[in-house]
Amino acid sequence: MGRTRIALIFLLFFLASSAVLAAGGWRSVSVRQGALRLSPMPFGKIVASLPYGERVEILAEQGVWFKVREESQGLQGWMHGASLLDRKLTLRPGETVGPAASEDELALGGKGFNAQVEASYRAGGRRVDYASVDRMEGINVHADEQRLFLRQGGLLAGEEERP
Amino acid sequence: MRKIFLKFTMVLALACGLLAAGCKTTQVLDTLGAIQVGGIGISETQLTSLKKTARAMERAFTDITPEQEYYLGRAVAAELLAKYPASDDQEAVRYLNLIGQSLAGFSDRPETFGGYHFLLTSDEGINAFAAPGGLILVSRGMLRCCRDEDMVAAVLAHEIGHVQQKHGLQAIRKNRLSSAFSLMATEGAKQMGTPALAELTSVFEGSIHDVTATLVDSGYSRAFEREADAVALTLLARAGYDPGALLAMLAEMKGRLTPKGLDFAKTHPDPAERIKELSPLLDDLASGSGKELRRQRFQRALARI
Repeated sequence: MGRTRIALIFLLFFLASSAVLAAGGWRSVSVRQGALRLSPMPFGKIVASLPYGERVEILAEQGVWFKVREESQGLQGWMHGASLLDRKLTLRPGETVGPAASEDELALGGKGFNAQVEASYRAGGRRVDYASVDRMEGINVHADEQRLFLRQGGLLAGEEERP
Repeated sequence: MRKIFLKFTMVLALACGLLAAGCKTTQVLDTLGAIQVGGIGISETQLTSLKKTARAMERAFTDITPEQEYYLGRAVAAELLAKYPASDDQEAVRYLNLIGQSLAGFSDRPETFGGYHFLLTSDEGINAFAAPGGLILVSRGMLRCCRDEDMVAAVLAHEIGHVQQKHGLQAIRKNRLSSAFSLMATEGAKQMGTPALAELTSVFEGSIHDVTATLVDSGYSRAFEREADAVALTLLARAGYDPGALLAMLAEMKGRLTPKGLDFAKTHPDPAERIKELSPLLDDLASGSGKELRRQRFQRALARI
């Protein structure tokens, strides 16, 4: 019994450490619209926009930028390291932490502040202006307009056109 | 029974050890589940219970997820906008967003869950707020201090600094979050119904209060302001703006802030002190050029401010 126990403990340490090393190969997108860029630089041309929780395989690393391949279509490009998490996220935004959520989803997806909690908070009759917040979130600057603004203002626009 | 307890403790201690070594407890326990549970003599039920305890511990060690930061930030912004109404000057707002995105793209956190968004508030006080996750508000009074685009950029860069460094989240009292985590870890979490939701909502409200009270009343620590100023200089330089514009902005504010004011005068360190601390950092940065190119659009966009 004693020997089995020791063997098991060693086995556990081995399995746990190899799992952590293997986890370096895959990351999850930690933002709602993660820009997958053609080149590893700010304002580089956007190839695709990846959703929160999407799994990506790390192919290469260059400073804060990671060359990745996304899981669903195999698209490749560069993502900023701050938009990637090294753990799996199972809950997608908008899903609720309600009775339907499994134990694993709770563990991995959310500690609870979500759309359901926001709705409950808003129902509390506090003085809040969510209409302006929604309007604010609706303001989006198109990539072309952004590049033009940078260029016309003599600002550094990245070098996204460089082959 | 005692034997089972001993085994239970041993496995828990092992899990703690691995957690301290930087491993994910749940990962370790999944491994535990994968190998023959019977072999070390703990039942399925015990393993489930063990998993829950370990998960509660793991939560206490990890950050608030980006999605939760987003919902907290929305609520903070909603409270701020109820107190400081939004302006409907669309041209100014568009301009703020173009400048803001130009800077955020060069930050160490160029994307957030919901993205960076900038809005003008119509109050005359000298104010700027960053809600967690990137919702940034700037007052008309603040913009009136700006003589050029670079000074506007300096204000936005400082606020982006607070978002990048997650200062807002750090204003939340730790015991609020640990109560949220333990709530989620209890047996009842599986059937999270009205009482659990009510409790979580109350933790949420408390957290929002912690952040807004810091932003509006008490202000961040000197260390956080210094950090945001340092980030601001870096962002200005990276984007090609003049980092010296931050000092120009502080000098302008020094002349305009009234000692008993309820705005930046109350929540921020004395501009003179900030200038003194920042000056040495400027030496290593390029001064930026092309101000003339940006003059016309500045005047056009903020003419009615």
